[in-house]
Amino acid sequence: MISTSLRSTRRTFIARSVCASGCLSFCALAQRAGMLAAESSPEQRRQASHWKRIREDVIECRLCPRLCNVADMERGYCGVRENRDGTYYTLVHSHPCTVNADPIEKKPLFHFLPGTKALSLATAGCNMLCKFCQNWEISQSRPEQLPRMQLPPEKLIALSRQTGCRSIAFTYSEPIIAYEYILDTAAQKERPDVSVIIISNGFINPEPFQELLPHLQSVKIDLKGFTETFYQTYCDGRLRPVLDTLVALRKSNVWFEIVTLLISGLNDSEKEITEMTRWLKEHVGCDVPVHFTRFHPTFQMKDHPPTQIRSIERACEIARVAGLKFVYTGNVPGHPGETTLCPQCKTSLIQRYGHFVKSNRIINGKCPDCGTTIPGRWEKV
Amino acid sequence: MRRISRRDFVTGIIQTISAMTLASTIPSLPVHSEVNISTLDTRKIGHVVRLRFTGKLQGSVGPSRRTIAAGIRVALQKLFDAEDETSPWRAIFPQDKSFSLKTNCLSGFRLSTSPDVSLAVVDCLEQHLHISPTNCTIWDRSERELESAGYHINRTGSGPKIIATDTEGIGYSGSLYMQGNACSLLSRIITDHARCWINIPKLKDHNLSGVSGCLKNTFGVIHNPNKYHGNHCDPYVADVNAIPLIRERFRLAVVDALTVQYHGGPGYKAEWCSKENCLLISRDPVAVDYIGWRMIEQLRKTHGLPPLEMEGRHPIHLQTAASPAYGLGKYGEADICVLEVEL
Repeated sequence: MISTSLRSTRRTFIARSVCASGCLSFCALAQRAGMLAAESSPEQRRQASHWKRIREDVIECRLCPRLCNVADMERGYCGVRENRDGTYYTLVHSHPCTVNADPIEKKPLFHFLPGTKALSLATAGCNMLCKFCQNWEISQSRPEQLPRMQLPPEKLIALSRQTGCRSIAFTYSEPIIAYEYILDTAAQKERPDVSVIIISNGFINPEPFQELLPHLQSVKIDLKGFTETFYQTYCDGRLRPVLDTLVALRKSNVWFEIVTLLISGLNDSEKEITEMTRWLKEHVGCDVPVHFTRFHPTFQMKDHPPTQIRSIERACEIARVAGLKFVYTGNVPGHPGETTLCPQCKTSLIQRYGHFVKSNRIINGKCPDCGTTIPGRWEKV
Repeated sequence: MRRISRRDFVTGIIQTISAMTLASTIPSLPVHSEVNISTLDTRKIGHVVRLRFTGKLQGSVGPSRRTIAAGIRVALQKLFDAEDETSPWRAIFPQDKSFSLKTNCLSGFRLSTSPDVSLAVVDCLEQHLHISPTNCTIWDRSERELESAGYHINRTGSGPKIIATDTEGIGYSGSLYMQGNACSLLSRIITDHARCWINIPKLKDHNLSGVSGCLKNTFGVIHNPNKYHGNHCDPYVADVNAIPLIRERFRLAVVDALTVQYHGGPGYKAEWCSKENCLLISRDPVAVDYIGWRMIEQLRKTHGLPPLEMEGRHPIHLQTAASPAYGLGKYGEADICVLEVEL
């Protein structure tokens, strides 16, 4: 007993030491990144892409469907792209406001390298205004209102390797508005072992999205509801462009998953979920994982109650009936809906608890019991 | 001993409470009570003074700080129809001890609130309210913008503080302020550092809102103005100005129209910028912007430009702000009284 106990303690000690050293090295890197930012000019900016001068020095931003008209000295709706003397600049290139090493399941991506870590970063701003935004402190701020690191693409890739992250995830706020930063990171030649993924609202124009797609390995799209009214009222956005983005993803080779945050009484009606899941089956296919996640009161909707779990379960059931094969619950840790089941033999393949993988039985992308191919991007064994 | 009936007792209590409540709503008179402000109409809704500096000005140089201060004193005296220069100041700021002066320094030194105008207002506050200039904070969003407009940052020295929301230790409020469609954090300069604020914007054309003046300047108070430029900034401008803290702490507008950008704004464009040597002064933020708008339209007409409405960008936010739902001030020639002052 003593011997076993001692072995256990030593193992625990070593495991903790490894974790601690990893954390420390990450913190040191992040701190160093922060110091570099402090030394840099607050005015740092780079010329943006996808814009056109439409008159005098007024610019039309063509990155997202808003098509902001931006006069000299002004910024677009996102707050991170600025007109200076008739030239349009991005203010967030290489300037994340937060960096963390997250489980990929937190994005959530359940069929993309499960159990790995993603170096997750955000820049300030967003091209929507969701009243239920969980990260409004950064998404609804301008770059100069937040701490800024200086992490150019090459350092981002180096940092991901040093922290054992298999991917770099542009997340938390809306990555589309950091378009040039993502593109430059994804275009780095020295990153064959590091994937680039975005966690996006999908509110982007087709042209820039087509330009970005070949450089991405995975995308998660927030489909926030399935009516234009919901998008306009609660997100200050539009549904149609998001659906176009989903169709574009379907036509590409990029792995993608879909998340819908269900809010009681607003976007969780049987009719709306039925229409949504039928549309998804028809236009993006039944293999795309769909996550129905639980709303918690926040930002401008602090008075709205958390989503009832049975509402999420009902949405999952509707989706399965519609023919979607991989439907998950979210923000309900320990719920059986977090588990990946083989669509053929129904056995459990990946068991999760919250953001963590408890077991993964998938071998080379197949069910070990019946050999059915499970769509996704899996580690090769 | 006389017995008090239950009815008398209850009546007495009600009278006492009523008297106490009434007393608490009456502002205490300022220390310098030799000036009788009780007869002044302090709100002056719908009244705007157009102050023109037409005297000897050296070449392209505008009026000096001293001249501007003198002009503002005369203007307020005219606005209040007061017998002396001091009583209007005491009427406007009966109990205020700390003052924040919100500038608009977005467009560099050629098209921002002139430091001379801001400092002239401080001079007036000092002279008429006997307050220390250190109780005054001249400010905008960032120190960089203030410096680019010709201000010298003064965080702790003598004289008025000249700081910005991005000055270390300032920042934005910890909680959101929601009003209508607006949901924003506010600069802590306006929430924590002063109990009242004076709006000192620059009058200029704006490609989206049509006119940028007093009401639009409050976008520099919030942390997320970029979210509120849709639909020509309407009704967002009115919403932000209707936030109770902003509305209740507003005291006076001094609109810098020494130079006016009548087209191509909000950035500076030399070809459409006119030297007007004028200030617009009012306690009504809508009325003062309405008169500013008319001034811009007149300049556009003079220079052969079409009215803003023909470009689809006339300032609809002014009408919204004046509507009964907001009641922020008066809109339209019929409801506004313009008082002319020349110096």
